Amino acid sequence: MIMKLKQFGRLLTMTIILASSIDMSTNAYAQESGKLLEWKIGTSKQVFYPGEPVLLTLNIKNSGTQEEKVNFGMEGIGAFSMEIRDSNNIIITKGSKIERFGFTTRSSFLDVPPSKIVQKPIVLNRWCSTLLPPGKYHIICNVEYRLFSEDQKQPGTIVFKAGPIHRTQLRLDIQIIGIDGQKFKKILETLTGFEVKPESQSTGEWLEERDRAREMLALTESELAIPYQLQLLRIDPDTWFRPDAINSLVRSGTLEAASGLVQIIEDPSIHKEDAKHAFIDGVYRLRETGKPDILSATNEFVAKHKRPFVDHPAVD
Amino acid sequence: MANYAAFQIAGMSVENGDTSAAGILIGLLMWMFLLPEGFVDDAAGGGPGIVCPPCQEWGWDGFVFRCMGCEADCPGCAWCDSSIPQCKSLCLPSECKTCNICVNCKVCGNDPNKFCCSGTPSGHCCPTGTTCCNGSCCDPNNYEICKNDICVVAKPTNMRQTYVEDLGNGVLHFVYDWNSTTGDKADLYNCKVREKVDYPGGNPYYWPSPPWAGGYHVDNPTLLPNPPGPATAGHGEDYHSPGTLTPPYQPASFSATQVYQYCGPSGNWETLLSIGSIQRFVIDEGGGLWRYSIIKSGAYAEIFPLP
Repeated sequence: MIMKLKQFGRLLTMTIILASSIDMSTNAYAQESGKLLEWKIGTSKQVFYPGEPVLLTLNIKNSGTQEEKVNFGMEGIGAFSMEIRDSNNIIITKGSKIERFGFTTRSSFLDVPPSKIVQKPIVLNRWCSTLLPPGKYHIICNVEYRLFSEDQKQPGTIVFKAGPIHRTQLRLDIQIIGIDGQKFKKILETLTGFEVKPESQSTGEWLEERDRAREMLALTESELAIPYQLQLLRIDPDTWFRPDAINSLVRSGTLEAASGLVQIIEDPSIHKEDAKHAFIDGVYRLRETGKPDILSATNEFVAKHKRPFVDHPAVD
Repeated sequence: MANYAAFQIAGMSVENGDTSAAGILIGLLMWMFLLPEGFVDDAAGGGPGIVCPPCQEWGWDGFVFRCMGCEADCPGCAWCDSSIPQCKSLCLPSECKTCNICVNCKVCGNDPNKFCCSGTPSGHCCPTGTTCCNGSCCDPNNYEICKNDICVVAKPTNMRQTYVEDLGNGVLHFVYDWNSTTGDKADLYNCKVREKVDYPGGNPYYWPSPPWAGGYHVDNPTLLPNPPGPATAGHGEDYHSPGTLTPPYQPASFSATQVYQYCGPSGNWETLLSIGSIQRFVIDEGGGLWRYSIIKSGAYAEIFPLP
């Protein structure tokens, strides 16, 4: 009986160690000394294909007794900068903070109730390409955030003075493996599946999930994603993720992307008046690859459509 | 899955006045042996003489796997029945109440610009572009959606400023919320929102230089975000930049006029909240010191002294 208990104890210990190591392989922790927020970053899996969108999930735990509101900056992503390092800790790719002035419907804030863990999903590919050779990589996620509770009302005005910037760094390891076309397509099909609202889901929840899936699809860096990205632009040319999808198509540098954009522009059943310039510009950018097949397939198109003046003005 | 072809051919026998069991049996035999080639669906009110081709393109329509190319490949043809691997002639009912013989009837009363909308107690025709809502037609151009089987107007309303902060470095950050006329922001899925900022003069508008950097310009009007944001957010934020200021400075000021707008499928933009002016100044404070300031909705931010 004593032996059995000892064996059980060893087994239990092993199980705990294994469970911990599995958990640590997909999650990383950071805690600021003296702060009441505990940060953790994770992904739903550890292994990705080159160009696959990597959804990072920040888990923020509020150990305090008051609700905290974290300000992640413009569009809720201004607080982040990213790095991908190889197994020798050499920086392979780096993405700076994203600054977007002007009006947005995206919230800077995330409410974190006391004793609760709240999640914030972000797509790594917005900062760093995952089009990498197979191997192990370290993701470094730098967060520069403010706390709403530290804002101070300026006397005699309606204006609050923003509190100090807090910094934290989160780390996570991922592995890139060789592409498996069939499995990659399945991932993309799963993402497109979010276009259909499940009966049981509320519209609000569905739209949130659908938009996350659209963002991942739009930021996928693979020729396999082209039909899905084109389909997204066909069904909703005004999608929030239109610039991301067009950029991904342009980066693919393929005839399929160029022909797909031409078809969208020339299809009268697709309402795209506001987006026409962006699509036409996409075709011209693809022609800049100089690839003969793209040039010959779009010669007639460019004769009909002048290159729009796509400016990158400041915003207000 | 219920086999609607059998039902339909049985229905043909009934319509032809043959209500006997033998008639129904004949119908079933016809279904078994005669369906595969060029099925003419007169009995369902289909266009007489229209022979629809086999389906060329299958695909998922929501959760239903069906022929997708019927209408495009063969005008007057539509998919009516997942059990028949080919297009069928359309139901062309004089009234929609007969549409049930063909479960996916697409045309209403011979009018290609209308579709059959079933409902309680009976369906009727809806114009193309509307959505069927339990027998009523919801017009998205009037912001109507179908909610709990009733057409209701879903527009953003009561946009209001909920917070404003000075982020430092002359950046003002405004926070707004709005509601839906239905009480549920998720109902605003047909609506987009944006800001429109008008500057004096032409397009683009170049901010005065100096003190702003030469060539620093904005679209006039500035319409953001591009593409417009979903109104379902019920929340908007606006960050106002000081622009790029470069010495040697010179006194300057300009004013822009801002409005927040919403729009539906009609494409017409309507005012959700009128802000008024956004004013920017660069002032010589003497002693070689310069001040940048911005004023909007009574809120103020500055950079002083300018570097």
